[in-house]
Amino acid sequence: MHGKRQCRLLFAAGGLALASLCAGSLASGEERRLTGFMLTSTSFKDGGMMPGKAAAGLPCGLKGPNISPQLGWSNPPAGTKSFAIVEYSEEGGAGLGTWMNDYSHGVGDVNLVVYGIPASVTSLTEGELSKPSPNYVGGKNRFGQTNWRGMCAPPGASAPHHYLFKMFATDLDPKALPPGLTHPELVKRLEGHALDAAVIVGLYTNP
Amino acid sequence: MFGKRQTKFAVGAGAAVLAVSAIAPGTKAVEAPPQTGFMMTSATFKDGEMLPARIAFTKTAQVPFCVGENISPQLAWSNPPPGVKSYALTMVDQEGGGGVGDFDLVAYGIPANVTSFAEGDLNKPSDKFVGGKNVWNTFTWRGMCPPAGTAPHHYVFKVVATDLDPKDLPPGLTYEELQGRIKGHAKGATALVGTFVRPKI
Repeated sequence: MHGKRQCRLLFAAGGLALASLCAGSLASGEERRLTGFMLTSTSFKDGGMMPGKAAAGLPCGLKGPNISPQLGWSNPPAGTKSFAIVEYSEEGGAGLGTWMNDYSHGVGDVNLVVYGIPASVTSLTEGELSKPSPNYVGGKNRFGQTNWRGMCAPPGASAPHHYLFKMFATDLDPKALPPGLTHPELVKRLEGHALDAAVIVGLYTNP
Repeated sequence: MFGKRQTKFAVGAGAAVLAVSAIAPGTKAVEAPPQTGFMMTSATFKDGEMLPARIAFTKTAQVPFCVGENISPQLAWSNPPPGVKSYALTMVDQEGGGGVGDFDLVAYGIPANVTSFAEGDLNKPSDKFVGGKNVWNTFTWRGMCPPAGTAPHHYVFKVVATDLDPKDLPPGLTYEELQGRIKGHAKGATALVGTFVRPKI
């Protein structure tokens, strides 16, 4: 949305410097111009089908080798110190996956939660998120796993599920957050620290 | 989602049910609901493609850089899961609010016999939906108006099928409040994603 809304997270921090930055852009009547922060993948196209090799394996009865897709990003906002990535299915959890990740009830359809990616890292190779790497700190996905969990759409769903990859550019030091945060915990910790976000959507249907 | 997760969700629907399941190890797990092919479509845009400018928000004194006519898109859905009594429909700008998401449309209490909205239907109150409160404190469609200098933003349209009576929820719920009220009542969901970037003017 437009500049005013973009200030919401910054204000949430209560940080004077950030608040004044935001207020300044409003007072001048000028919108804050963003930098064109963008997330891309060589493994799939935005809005296109994801490759079967990224799908989950045995736990959901599929034969996918669970190889995380390549991800690359460019034009982060000034002041970015680290990145975070979450990936989830919009349709999962009966549509509540992204809404209410209540882990105590097992609801939630978040397949990937990673953060603490240093600002100097601008891509992750295929498979890099399938195992621990110095390039990221592993959070906890819906299965309690700290790295990539591939797609696992239910058989019989005629409409492909939408898997949304969202990258946050943050002003947090790469070591600022402890390992093992869940998606809602991460979002809470990012309040006041998310400078911008970039999204790419892949589709998948269980063959 | 695969079957096991959906089972957990169904069990989570009621504390009593959950408790009974937990203390009865011999009890067979609830079967995952059959996938009916619940699917949303739009005549206004194609999944994964650019949204037309006519559904974007309109230029005003406060937002002179918005470029559209604010006409809500046509949406339709089919093959809902069994037991649906009402639908909820939301539209979220995923990159908005620094990535927390901007909630541009919050509608619910859509009776089970309503399976489509014509273009413009969501611009005015009607008996086909109960208006929740979007981030702009309005109760109807609020079109896209991304900031300058962004890559295309992703707008997720989602219909959630629920077992709630169309009159169960009060008007004016925010997105977060709706989440809480639907929990335990969602039977399935279908989504479409459109993108939009401010044209150069």
